[in-house]
Amino acid sequence: MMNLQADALTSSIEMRTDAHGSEGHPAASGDYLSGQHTLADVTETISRMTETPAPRWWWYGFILSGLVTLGGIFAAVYLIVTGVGVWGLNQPVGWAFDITNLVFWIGIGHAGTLISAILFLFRQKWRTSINRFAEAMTLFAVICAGIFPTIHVGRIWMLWFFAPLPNDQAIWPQFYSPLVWDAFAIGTYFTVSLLFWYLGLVPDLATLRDRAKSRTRQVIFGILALGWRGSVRHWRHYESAYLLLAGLATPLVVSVHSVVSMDFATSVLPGWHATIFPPYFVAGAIFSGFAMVLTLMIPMRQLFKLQDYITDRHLDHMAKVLLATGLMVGYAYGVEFFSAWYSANETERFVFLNRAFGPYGWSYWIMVSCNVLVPQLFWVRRFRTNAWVLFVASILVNVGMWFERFVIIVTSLHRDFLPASWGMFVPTWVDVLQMVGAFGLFFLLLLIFVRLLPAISIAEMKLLLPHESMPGQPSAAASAAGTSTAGGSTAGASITSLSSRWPEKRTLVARFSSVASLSEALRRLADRGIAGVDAYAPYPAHELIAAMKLRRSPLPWFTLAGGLFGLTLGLLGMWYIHGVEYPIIVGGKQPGTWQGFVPVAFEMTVLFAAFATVGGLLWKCGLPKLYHPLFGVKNFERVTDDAFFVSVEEADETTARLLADAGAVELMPVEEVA
Amino acid sequence: MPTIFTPRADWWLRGIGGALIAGLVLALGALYYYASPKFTRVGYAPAQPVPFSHSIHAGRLGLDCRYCHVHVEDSPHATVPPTQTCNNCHTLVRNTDPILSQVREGWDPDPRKADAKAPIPWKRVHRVPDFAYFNHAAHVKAGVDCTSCHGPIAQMDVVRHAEPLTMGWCLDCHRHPVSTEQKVNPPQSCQGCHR
Repeated sequence: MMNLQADALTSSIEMRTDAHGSEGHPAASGDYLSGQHTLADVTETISRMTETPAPRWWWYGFILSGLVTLGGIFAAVYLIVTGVGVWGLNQPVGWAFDITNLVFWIGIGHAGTLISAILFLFRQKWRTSINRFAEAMTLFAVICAGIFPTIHVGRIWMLWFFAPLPNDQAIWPQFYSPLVWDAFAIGTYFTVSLLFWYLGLVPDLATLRDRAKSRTRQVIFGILALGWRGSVRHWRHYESAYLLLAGLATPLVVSVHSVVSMDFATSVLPGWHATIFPPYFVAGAIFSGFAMVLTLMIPMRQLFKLQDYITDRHLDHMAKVLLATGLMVGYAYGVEFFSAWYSANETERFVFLNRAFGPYGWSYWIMVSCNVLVPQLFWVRRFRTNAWVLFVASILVNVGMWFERFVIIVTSLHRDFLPASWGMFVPTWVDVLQMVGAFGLFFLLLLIFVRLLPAISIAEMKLLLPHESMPGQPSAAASAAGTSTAGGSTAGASITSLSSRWPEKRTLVARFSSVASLSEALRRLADRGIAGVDAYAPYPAHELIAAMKLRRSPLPWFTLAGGLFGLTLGLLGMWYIHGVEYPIIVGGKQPGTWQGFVPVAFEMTVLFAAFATVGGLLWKCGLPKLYHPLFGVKNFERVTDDAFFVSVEEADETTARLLADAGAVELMPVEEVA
Repeated sequence: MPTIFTPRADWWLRGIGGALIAGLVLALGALYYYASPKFTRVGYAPAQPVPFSHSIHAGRLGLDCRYCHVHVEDSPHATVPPTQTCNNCHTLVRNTDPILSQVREGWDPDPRKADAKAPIPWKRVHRVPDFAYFNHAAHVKAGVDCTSCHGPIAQMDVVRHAEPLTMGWCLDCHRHPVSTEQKVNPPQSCQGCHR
């Protein structure tokens, strides 16, 4: 018996490491979570950040960023009631701080989904402790970005013109315009990132619900968690949905900044009209996004004492990403000059010389020193793991990346083709207040986020736990049963009491203290062909899915159907608008040509595929389901913390004995709660 | 452990969720219907300071529109007639009727004092926004009948806003012009009207 369990444990650990593919050596996963931790300990550390009274530094930050946000709101309201003229925009500099800030914030927003989606697909386990926070940062950065184009159009009550809605004006968005692609790209990016973020939060919201002491917290987190109960059948669909959304978000990360760059690249302005722009912008976005993650992560890890969760190895990896993307950005700066020289076009050459040595030359050199020179520090390992060096460098990189956008936009515009229409841009106080206000809003939202929601994924961190600290080794099981929670009874006692009163077949729930013993029980139940079995676990344990002999989730078919629907809807809609209802000739092409429809058709495909994936997940799991009889079972609230359960419908005494033999800590019939 | 929610909670969640979605759909539908000029402008028929009846003058008496709206053929503006035009007839016809008191009092027979009295404050019914350029002459010359835009004006006792005058409504005709007299080619580009 003991041997069998030990074997099961070993094999299950192998499966775990296999399933999550550590880099060749299983022990390495431990390096992303230093110190000795248990399941309960992970839950406790991360949940506590949202449950204890706010620390003093939080209140200072909250009040300060709140005041700055109010300043930004004042600037926006002043602009809306007065007009865009309150900014320093002029002819020829028609875009300046507004679009600089838009591109800056959209760039910041790239790190989150890159970390959560692309690194997930590459099985980079170090993403686990930073992905939640980075995703939240992404959402808030996109919100900050959205402010600028919204108010810079002037008449914000006409914003609905962006949407292809039938209207009395019989006017439609021009789907061959990169500005419309941009609205679709950013809208889709925000929506899919939000779904991805929320999906990741659901199991953690259930944890907070089950830990909640006050009725208000119970109800709020109860509704937000959609009745998540850690069912292995649900985890199977959940993991599939998570992987699918990661796959959908990955091309989005690349597409958003490519489309933003086309706002510039498709114009015929020297300095903007360059084919290198899409990759150049994407590299810059990842560069600035990682810098912002570091700027925020380093103080957070210090203030919440999360050094075990965000280790020096994390910092090291992020510094390497900074170095790599910094080099790409530096290469792009060089290539721009080369292309200008090689084009043999006087105007093109002038623009780039003017960039470096003209009236705005100082901003060009700030950009180069912050973005190209500063990251060179990270060739040295000592600097990559030094939090202070990284913190200062990440701030400098963000300054540099802000200036990169300023340089691209303002220096290209301020020297028009005719010297008679040359001009200079000088920001007004409204420009500056609006920019500072966006930073205020960003920090305000982040501060609220770290207090309200788990800033690190609780369920995913549990997958990083090294096996030494896993509970449920045969020797530990018995003692855990006695000492765990109040009312915990030993397995022997409960089976005796049960067998004496087991009058009819009814649903039976058994608690296990480890994945190993639970999967052993599941395997035995499956061997006997017992139906109506489900298991419950605090994290997606793949060996449980295997032990239950569950088939693959059918969710990919939902994704495919949603994607095809979005693609068809997008193409048909645009063909109707520009081929039939509002024929328009752009770039000398026939009305209704398809090439210009590609970006929006892509965004529509991804958007509807994401909707279908999440909708399919909820449908297949039967969620939201706020009430379930299992929630009334003793200790079941620990299923989102450190306990494992199995439920068997219409169980008889033999089944009860089987579960007890497999190592159940506690056996309970389900009390039907009226 | 007692459960947080009762079995009724799921019923409530779906009920409230469904009601919110239904409410949103209804609100959007209402916005589409009630915020459209087809609802807000069509049917506008303000009482005028003098109850002038187009149905009597243009309908029963058969006056040509151009008798009062003299510049409709050669000017962007159709022209609201001066009080003088009324008095061409009303010094002789119904010249004691109390409903025409403003017509008599607002006019001085001495042409040197033509500006001395304030015009009758007629209420404007049809209005095209300043950012859209509309030319009566161009439309009348192209064979567009007055009633195409103003409705059956010769049957109206009180002038009523008959058509929505939205951009979509303008474009309907500009895209599919119907003219019996000549071949017309109305502009469909932005700067055709927004100039």
